[in-house]
Amino acid sequence: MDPESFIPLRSVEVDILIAVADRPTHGYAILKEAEGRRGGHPGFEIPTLYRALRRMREEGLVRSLRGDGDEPDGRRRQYWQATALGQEVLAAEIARLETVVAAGRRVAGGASA
Amino acid sequence: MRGPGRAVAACAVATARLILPLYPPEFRRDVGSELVADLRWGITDRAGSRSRRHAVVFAARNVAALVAGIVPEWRRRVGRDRRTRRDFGDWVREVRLAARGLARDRAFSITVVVTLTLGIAMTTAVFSVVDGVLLRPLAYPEADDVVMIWQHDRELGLDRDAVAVGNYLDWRDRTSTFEGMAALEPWGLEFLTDNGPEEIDAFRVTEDFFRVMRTAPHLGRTLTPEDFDLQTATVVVSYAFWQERLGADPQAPGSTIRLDEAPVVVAGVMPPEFDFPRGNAIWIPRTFSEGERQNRVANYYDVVARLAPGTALEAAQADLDRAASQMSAEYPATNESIGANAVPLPELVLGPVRSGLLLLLACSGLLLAIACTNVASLVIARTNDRLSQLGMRSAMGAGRSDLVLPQVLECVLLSLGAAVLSSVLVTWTLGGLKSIAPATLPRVAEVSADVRVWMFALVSAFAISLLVGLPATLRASRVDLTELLKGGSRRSTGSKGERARREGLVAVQLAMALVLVTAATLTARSVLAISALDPGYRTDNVAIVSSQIWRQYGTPPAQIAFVRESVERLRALPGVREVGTTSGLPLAEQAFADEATFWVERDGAPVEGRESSAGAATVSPGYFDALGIPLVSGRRFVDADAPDAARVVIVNEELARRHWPGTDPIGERVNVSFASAPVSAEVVGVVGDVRHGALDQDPRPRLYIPHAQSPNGAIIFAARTSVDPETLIEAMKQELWSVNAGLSMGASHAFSELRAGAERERQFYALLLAAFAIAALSIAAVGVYGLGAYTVARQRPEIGIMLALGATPRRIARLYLGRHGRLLMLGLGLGLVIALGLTRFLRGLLYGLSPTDPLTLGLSFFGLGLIGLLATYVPARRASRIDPTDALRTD
Repeated sequence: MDPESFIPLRSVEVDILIAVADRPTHGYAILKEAEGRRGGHPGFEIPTLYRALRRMREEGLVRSLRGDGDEPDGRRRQYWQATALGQEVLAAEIARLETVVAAGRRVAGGASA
Repeated sequence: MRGPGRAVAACAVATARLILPLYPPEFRRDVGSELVADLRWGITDRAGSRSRRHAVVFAARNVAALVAGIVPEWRRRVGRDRRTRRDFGDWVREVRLAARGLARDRAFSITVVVTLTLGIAMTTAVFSVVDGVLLRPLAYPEADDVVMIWQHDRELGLDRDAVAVGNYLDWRDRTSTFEGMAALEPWGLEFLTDNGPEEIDAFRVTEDFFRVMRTAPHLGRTLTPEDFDLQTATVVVSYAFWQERLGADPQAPGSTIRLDEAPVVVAGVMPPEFDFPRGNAIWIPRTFSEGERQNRVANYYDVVARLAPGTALEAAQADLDRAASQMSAEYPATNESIGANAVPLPELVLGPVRSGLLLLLACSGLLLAIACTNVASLVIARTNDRLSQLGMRSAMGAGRSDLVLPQVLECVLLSLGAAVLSSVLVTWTLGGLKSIAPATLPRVAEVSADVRVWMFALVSAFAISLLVGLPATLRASRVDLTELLKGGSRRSTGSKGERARREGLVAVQLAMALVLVTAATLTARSVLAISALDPGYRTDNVAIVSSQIWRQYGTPPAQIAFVRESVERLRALPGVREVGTTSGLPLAEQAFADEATFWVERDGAPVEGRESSAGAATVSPGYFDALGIPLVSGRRFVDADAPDAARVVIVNEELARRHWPGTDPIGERVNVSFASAPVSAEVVGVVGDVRHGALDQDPRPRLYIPHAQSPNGAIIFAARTSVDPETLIEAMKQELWSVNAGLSMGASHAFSELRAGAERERQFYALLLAAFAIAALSIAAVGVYGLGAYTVARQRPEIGIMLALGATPRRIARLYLGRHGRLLMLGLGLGLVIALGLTRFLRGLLYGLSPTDPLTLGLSFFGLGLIGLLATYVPARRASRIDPTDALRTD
């Protein structure tokens, strides 16, 4: 599968891949990380997140794992992790975003956060 | 769990739990509990670290997102919306695959398309006719509010009797529930054509007429009150008249034409759909003189009226009844037993043909049903054949939609094929239908296959193929591979259930086919019975020329002299053997009085209380010979039966039987009144009975009076010829014009045309039913054959075993014949029962047969049975020819 065929990604998919790129993460953690990045709102709701996770799993961008039950309520949580393809796709998307940002800076001035 | 936001969380979680079941099951199973848990966590997290308000907002947004995700998630599941959705190229490939699959199973595809086409094309054609004739609104705006009002003569038992002027005027003035009421009087006008003067049908109408009909003219204007006041010769013409006689001249309104040798102004032209009264060419203003206004006896007017807005028919009828009873009290001499009867115009125009057309629609529906069951049966068989293939695909990960999509595409392609073929067939069929349609079917000329009809065909094709194909398809999509593998790849006769379903479908087809075949046979036999009838007169080699001679010969002596002279001159024409005249020709529309009342006389005086009526006509001496009506006793009229001689009449056998049973009536006397005062006359001859009104009506009593003794201007010449009568018509007309160049000619043609026209209606229905029956027969036969072939093919291994174990080929063949023979019996038996119940609807079309005629039922039963047996014979034979080693070697 050609990573380029997945570009451009939806924004929730970018957030997911960033969160799961290097280690398995569970759903709520992905949400919290995105929230932290944006300062208050994650930019997507929980149902959206899970729908995207399932879709990406079907497409082979992430895989799901079961945790080993060390949660407060004892249930075994579902963890998500990027596959090799997922990492390639993330890299391709970042590259695309970088060219967009560079072009934008030239035109709109360089005010960065 | 303790802590802030607990209530909010509990609420949100409960709501989420209510919404989740709306998601696809896999979604719930996969991430459902995670989602709920994260939701609870998120709410309590925010409630604790930020504020309760944040928690509520978070909860609300997530619940909203949960609701909003239902539909997209289902769509994703069904459509596999990958990042790269099915693009155009994918669809093209799918369609091509489906087409290839159909091309491989050529027998299946062709059979389905042809079957569907037959059913849809015929139904669509019949539906167009029904739509064009019955359903399309009449040309007159708000036609439901237009009624015709008849006199109801309680004494004579006539409820649709023509109206007298005085009654019309009283009805108009004494009722308040009508917006307008007009009277129409049949009239004839002479119009000079290149071929000489011709009689044109016209109607004189009163002032309200065009207001009642409310139809705008095509060109020019309709009649205004001024046209009635001044009685200037202004007329309105029909579209047909304008096209045929005025050359469709756009300058016609305002121009002058010559009618009855006088100039008249054409005020306007009516549109082509305006056909009231039927076939009328010219509308002329009519006003009444003082004397006419009081006339309540001479009834030959039609009355048409429009209900006042918002009035119901019942209210108007009650209003009329009230007026009529007032009139009965005020004019007891004339109106004692006269009432008024209002009948809606659509009912009059369409009522007579409604049942016949609906019958056709029902039969075409039956045919369509047969076609559908056939297709359903074929689809079931095909799906069974592919069960293993489908199972394989499912095991390899094809989702349900992947399995269903090709089948749906196949249905679409097949129905597209059927729709295209149907369109072609319908156009052709419709043209044929219109050309053979009887004259009694109104508005047929305007029937066309318009957009609605095409949509009907397309939608039916699609709906049928989906309806029929999809259940089998859906069932197949749930196929379980392991179950299949267990059974062995060739053992799929399908389950017992499948086989039974197919057999059931075939039985139903046979039943319905039998109903159609029976209906067709019944009507065909009726048609044959009628054409074999002897009407009592000859129809071959008789030429008819009609003329209303009142204008040129207004006095009785002139009329008598004219008839005498013209008959002689016509008789002298080469090719003419005998000539006679009559005032009323059998099977033709009567343009003159055709009933006489009479009393039998005993000892010189009319017998009290024995007033009778009989059909009557005034004839010249040569009439009976010209039409080949045999003389049974006594003599024919001769020239000596003149105005100054003793009054004589000739009666027919039926009249003689009724009034002088067992004796010869020659010499008896009757007191007869025919379009004049009663006279006493002697019966000098008895002639054979004729079927005068219609071929399927038994002969009625009939009286003939010598024209010379009761002259009138309604002269129909009947000439027996030794050559083709058509060739003599022109010569006859020329001869009559040489007697008087101003004579206007009416209907002139070979008499055989009348006979053909009289039966056209019954023949029309019989032909169509025959077409349905043949189509049904073919489809049912294919269905039976298909089932047989399929079963034999599926059961090859078993047959091989039986043969190997010593069964003879003959026994195998008999086994299949027997099994399918039983199915035939079942289907045909069912059909017989249904036919017994349904054929009563044919009663109006039948002649000489009851709807449950045993011979016909038996013929149909055995005929269809024979064809069915033949259809099973081929596969049965194939079964017997199976090579056992070959069969056992399968897989």
